[in-house]
Amino acid sequence: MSFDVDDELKPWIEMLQSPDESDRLVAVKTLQHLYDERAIDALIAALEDSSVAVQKLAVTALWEFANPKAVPALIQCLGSLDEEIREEAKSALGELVTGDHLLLLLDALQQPEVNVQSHVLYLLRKIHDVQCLPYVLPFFESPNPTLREAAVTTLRYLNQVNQCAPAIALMADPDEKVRRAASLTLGHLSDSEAIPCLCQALTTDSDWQVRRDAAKSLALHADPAAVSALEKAVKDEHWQVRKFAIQALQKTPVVHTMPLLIQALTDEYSDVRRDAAIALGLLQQGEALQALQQALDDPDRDVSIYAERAIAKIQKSMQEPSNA
Amino acid sequence: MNTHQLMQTDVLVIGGGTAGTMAGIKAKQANPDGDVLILEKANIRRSGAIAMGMDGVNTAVIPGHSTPEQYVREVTIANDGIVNQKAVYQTGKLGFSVIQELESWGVKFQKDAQGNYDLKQVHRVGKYVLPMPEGKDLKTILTRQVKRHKVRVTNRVMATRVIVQEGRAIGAVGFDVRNGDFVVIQAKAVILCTGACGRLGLPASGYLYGTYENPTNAGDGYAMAYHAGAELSNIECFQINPLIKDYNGPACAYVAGPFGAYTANAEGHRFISCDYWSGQMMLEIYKELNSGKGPVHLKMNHLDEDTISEIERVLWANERPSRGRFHEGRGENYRTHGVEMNISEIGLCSGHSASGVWVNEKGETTVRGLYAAGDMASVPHNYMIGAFVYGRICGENGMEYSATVEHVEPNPEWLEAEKARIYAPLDQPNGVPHTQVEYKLRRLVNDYLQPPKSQNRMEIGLNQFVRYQETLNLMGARDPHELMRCMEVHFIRDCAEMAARASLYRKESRWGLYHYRLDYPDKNNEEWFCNVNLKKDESGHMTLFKCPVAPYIVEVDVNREVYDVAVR
Repeated sequence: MSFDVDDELKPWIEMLQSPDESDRLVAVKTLQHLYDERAIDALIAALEDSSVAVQKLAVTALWEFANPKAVPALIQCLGSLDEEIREEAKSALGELVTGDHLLLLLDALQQPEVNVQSHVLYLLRKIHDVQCLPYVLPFFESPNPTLREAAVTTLRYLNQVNQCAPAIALMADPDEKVRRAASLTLGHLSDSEAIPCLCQALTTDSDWQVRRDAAKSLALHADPAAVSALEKAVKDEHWQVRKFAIQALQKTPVVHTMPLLIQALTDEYSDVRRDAAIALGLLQQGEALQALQQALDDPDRDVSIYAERAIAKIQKSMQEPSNA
Repeated sequence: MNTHQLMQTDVLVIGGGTAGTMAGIKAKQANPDGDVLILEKANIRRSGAIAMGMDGVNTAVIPGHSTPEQYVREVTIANDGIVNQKAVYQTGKLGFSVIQELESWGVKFQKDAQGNYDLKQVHRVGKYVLPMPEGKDLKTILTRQVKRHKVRVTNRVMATRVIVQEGRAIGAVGFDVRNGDFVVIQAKAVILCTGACGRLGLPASGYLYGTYENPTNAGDGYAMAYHAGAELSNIECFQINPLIKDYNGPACAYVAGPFGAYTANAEGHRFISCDYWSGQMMLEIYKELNSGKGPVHLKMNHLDEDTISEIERVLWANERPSRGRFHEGRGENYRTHGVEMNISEIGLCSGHSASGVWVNEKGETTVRGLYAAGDMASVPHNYMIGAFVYGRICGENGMEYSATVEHVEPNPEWLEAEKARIYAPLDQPNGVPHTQVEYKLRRLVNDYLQPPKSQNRMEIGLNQFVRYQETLNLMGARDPHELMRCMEVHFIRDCAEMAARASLYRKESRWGLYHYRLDYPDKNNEEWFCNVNLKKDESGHMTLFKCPVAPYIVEVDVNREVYDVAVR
């Protein structure tokens, strides 16, 4: 192996060939510190060292060098038998991959290796390229729930994808982690078909995190068609579902939700009370003033501050001439 | 040992942390043919306040979310109106391009699914917090760029004084902390980037280096700028932060807040009225801690397992990797325990408050050819992005200035005197250990300067700090490393004296807890709406004076718009 190197680098690069693992460790660490880009080829070769420790340092060094030349070799490391190397390579590639590496990543996605596939699905999120879609969709059918979850999460990051029926279908997935990822992804699609599906998940899914994520997505859609389901969710047994349902209602203020929101001002959880105060301010109804006045004495400072702001908002709206 | 090394460069950057690495890179970009040298007393791969990474940006002014004008308004109000808005504006204006450039170098900022910056609103006003869940590699990325730009780096050399002749900075002196060589560097421009004075007060834990700020930052630049004749500003505006009790790190409400965590009193309720991070907020925390509702904690146990795991992943991987082990050692778990918080020791740090070497919007100090950037330069609430911005400004302006002057031969008598001063502890290796001298000094800082401040206590403190010069002369060092620690104690003493004199001078309370005087409990805009600057006068004495606040460029009514402690 020959390298175009000067005297400073040469002994360390030669030491990478030493039969002694300790020598090779010293060599790879030194090359990392010298930061000389002419050592890149030698470091790439060290990725195939018999010692896992040397391999790992070589990955770290190549990460620090941040030269795109190392990307193909680092992608190969995603299939390493050693978890630390896989994770280090994934982190390095997270910094190094660009749109130029799309085809390389899509090729790697074809490897029948779960670790490689899940890491590549993650890396595709850094590129946001809709060309990935045909390569990502087959993973929705994967028998492995980790891959289904990774794939539907990646879909969220692909620009220009507005509709995706297979993603809606994943809301019925037997694995709750897949359903959670799917419900968040549906918030990013401008597909009106997603609304009823999210409403159903919000009110009937057995997993509270799915219900919460559905509420988050409905807040993004801000569709009045979801109000009825959101009203139900304001009474959900889990406080995070109640909180995010009220946040969604803030996006579509409807007067008839007022009694529900007034009731939420006495919720056990301060975050729910705070969001109820904000929502009542947005409704701009004088009938809510008395309840908000009481919320001024809430032991949680945030609740009282937002109640004060809601009162000011309502009073201001009452002073303004009606447009009716 | 004691070999004389002479170096020469166009632009000398002292300190290779956040601001220093950026200053070096930008100076070189401004003139690739110019010579730039970064002097660092540790190793720039892992040095400075972001050595172990950073888990978020506190002051990201991203178009579409906020404007430089809004940012200037928030900082003006947060700093009770005492700001040079032109200087603050630079951070708001240039911060975005700095973030973009950092990103092009491989720094990862959190983005949403559409690839936009995922900004978080942490306080009730302003949306400036940009998480960096993969921020542990920030310093190595900066080091890589330093290398790529062919900026020279001299690690393990500590600067002790800036050389000033003919009314301008002409270089610096210091010594190699490994072999003890005396190092003289001639430079056309000098940029000080040595960070905060983090080792001013003693932490409640009692550990010398268990400080909130990076403990290697001992106020080197504050003292060097002072002895160079530069003005320092608002030193009485101390840095105080809410910290994890017994741990030298923030609870990280900035990180955990967007996930649903919040700062609560012992009853589990939020109690902070103040809308933005400021001394007013610290005063509220101080009052709550000392009320029947203390202690204060970062509450997370209401959150679910997945959310807590994600918070742990971010907090334990980036800024302070030892954090997980600390909690584990105490049998604490975020699922069942809040993170108990305490008020930190005092320090000087413009990044969090306002105390620093006075600079204008070009990063110039009042000494020609001397620039300052980062936590030690007085641009209030500048944080990490401000350090990058002012590193950039100083690097570019320093390089431009360097083209207009020639090297000056340092005065040999002055060099000999400084050499004798530096090496005195080595002449008495069995002298009092630096740890003991430092511990006592910083206990005095705690006893007499920790807010709330009182005239009588501070006068006793000042007397002690002045007399402490005699104690410093008793210090002994057995090797160059200990010598470095001895010189740091000198810097700390200088900063303590500045802190006492400035605090005594400003006869009002301002900036919440940062300058809360029991004898003058109210803010007095009529007499004290001004900067308090200090400098070493020609007779070698510390002189203090009022300096008017520069006219605003963004309108703010500081009488009406205040972040007040309206405790109901």
